[in-house]
Amino acid sequence: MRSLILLSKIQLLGLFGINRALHADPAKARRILALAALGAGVVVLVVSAYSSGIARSFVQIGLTEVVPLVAVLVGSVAGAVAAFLKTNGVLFGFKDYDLVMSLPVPVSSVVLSRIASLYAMSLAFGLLTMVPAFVVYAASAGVSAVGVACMALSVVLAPLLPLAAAIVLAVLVAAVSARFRHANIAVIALTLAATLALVFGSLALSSQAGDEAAMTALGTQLASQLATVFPPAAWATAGIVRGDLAAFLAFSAVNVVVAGAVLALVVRLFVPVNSLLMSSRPRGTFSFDGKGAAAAKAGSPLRALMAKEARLLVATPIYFMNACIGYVLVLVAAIAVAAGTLTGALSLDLLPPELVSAIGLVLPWGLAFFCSISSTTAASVSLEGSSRWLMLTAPVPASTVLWSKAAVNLAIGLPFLLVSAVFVAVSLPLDALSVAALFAVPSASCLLATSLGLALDARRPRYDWTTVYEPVKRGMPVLVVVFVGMGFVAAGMVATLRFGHAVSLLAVLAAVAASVALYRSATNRGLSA
Amino acid sequence: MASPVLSVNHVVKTFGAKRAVDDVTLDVMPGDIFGFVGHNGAGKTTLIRAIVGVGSFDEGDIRIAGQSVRTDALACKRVCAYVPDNPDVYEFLTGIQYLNYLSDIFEVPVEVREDRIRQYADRLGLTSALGDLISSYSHGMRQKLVLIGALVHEPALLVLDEPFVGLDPEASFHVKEMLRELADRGSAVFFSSHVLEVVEKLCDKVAIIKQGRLRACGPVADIVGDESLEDVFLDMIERDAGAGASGVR
Repeated sequence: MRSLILLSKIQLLGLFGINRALHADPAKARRILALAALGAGVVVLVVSAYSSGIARSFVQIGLTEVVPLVAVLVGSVAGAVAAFLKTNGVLFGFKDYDLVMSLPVPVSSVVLSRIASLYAMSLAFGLLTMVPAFVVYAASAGVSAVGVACMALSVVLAPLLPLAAAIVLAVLVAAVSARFRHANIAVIALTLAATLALVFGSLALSSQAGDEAAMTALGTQLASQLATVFPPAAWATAGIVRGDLAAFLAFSAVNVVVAGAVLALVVRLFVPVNSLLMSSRPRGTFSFDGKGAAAAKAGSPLRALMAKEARLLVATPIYFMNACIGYVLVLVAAIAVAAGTLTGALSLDLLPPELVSAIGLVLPWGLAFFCSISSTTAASVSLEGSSRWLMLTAPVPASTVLWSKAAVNLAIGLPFLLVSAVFVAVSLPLDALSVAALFAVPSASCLLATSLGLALDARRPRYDWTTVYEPVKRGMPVLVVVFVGMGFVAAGMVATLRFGHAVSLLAVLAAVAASVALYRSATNRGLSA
Repeated sequence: MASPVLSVNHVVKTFGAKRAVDDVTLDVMPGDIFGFVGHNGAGKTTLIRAIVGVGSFDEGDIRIAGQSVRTDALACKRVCAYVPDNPDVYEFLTGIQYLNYLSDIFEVPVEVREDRIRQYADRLGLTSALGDLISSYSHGMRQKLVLIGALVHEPALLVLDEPFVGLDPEASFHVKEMLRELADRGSAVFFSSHVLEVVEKLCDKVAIIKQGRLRACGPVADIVGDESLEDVFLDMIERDAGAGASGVR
């Protein structure tokens, strides 16, 4: 137990670089904690509002009893998705594996300390999504003391089974990918496909919105299907709604037993899978007369730096998915709009006239949303990690190094945005100003996210990470870019709806000016050692 | 008389109250292989990082091929190469991608780089692995790769921090040969090492640093005399270092 606490403590101290800041710069540590608290507060607020809003919608259409079922399902699945994305890097392929495994602690303690962080995150997701929905349900349906106890227990237990399934899946992916040279590309493709399937699934559901009868029928049908697909959620619901303790006991037992079994399995597989992932896979077939050598062409230092950044992006699925998914989504949404218009499934004629005029004002900001909340630059300097000596000793100005990082994000983002804008512009009957805004607003937002991410990460890079997950997902620049991007788009959209496209123009100019200022501040400051 | 390739003049670097490098002055001439020895924490890596532009320094100046590191860092980096004590390089690249990346950064023409890479990789037995991801390399293979990357642009000054750690005996032999050949072509080699036998046999000059101050600096034969470098070093470390030998040139 003591070793488990110590190992967990070490992981906790690495969170957000707090321990380093505490010992090097206590004032900075306080700022980090304050920012983290602020960020957490915003997330809690947004997700709670969203979750209770969905629950109220179910109540409104007469599906009150579906609320606990959906809450348990969403709480479980959200945590499982997060756990799946995190497992590789937390359980497998972490840099201090050799050091940790050489310590006189049982493998089960190492595994538990790492799974505990995954469970904590699943639990946090569960709390955020389930509790607001349960509150809405309790207020609408009236719940017995047994029901309340079942709700409380289901928050704690619900993540266990999906978390276990996610870990097994991640173990399989890790074990399989270890055997392929370009597994990272396969992982990116599979994750993209899963994300798009999820998006199209929600779109299919939301396309029924507006027709309450159809929605109720669909909701009832969906609830019954979900209960069939994932019976434990139905058992938990039976406990909450009808006080059926036997069903709830079955729910609890399944979660605890499966989680225990998976824990035992991971303890058994932990060393073999990590050894497989870390073992050499050399082909040893290079020759100077072969393909690899002939491909060598002289390029400029900037081109070499950009190629290096692009290779890092492709070689690191979690980095790619975190930083580039917005661009893929914006293109998919634009294609969906174009396809919908072409097939007649989507037409502005179906909308009330007051909404038609707002479409041209809102759409540019809708496209901007996808690209303003992520940027490859926000982790790009930190990702130099222990190899940063290469960047620091390269005979190129800091501005070239930083520009290469910004240019890669723009080279990926802008084509996606421009093509998406073309799809939307040719599909919908928009006025010239709206079409111009379709191109300008997302591009300016992309520029702002690029410069902001770069400036923040170059100012305070975090090189001492042990898994790529740390700078890519937990990095402060990444979080700040997300929140600033969301704020920029929300404020821009609201102001444009009220005051028209003049606001869009002003926002574009402000974003470009801010981007230039941020980029200049980063290049003037240079690179941190 | 030729100008020094590396000139360190009264360099001071402090961390809080501690003077990690304390008024160090030394010159490294073209053709020199210059050994830099001292105990752990003596200030070797701090000075090396300042020379190659990775770390800063508070006082004094460092000039490489006549250019100041402080005022013209890029010109210094163009003629300098660095091999750190830990060969951490981009693991997502293959060996040949890494070498081509460095060649592009240092603007080495294709035909020249291919010739040099082929020659050095063959000697160090790394050719067949160049197409593999660096993540699959052992420590020694990474060390060899970093060394080839450092030599690919034929630097006027090659700075190495503990270059022989992790190398197998054959590679170690070839590396010593390659350093000597580079020096014979007019470049200068400056390296830190704890392996005093290697320093004594390979180097023309040596500097001994203790607690940030140079205690001895000059031709190996002058410093060692009839003793071994190990004896001299241990004597120096044991002696009460009351009077420093800073500013030794």
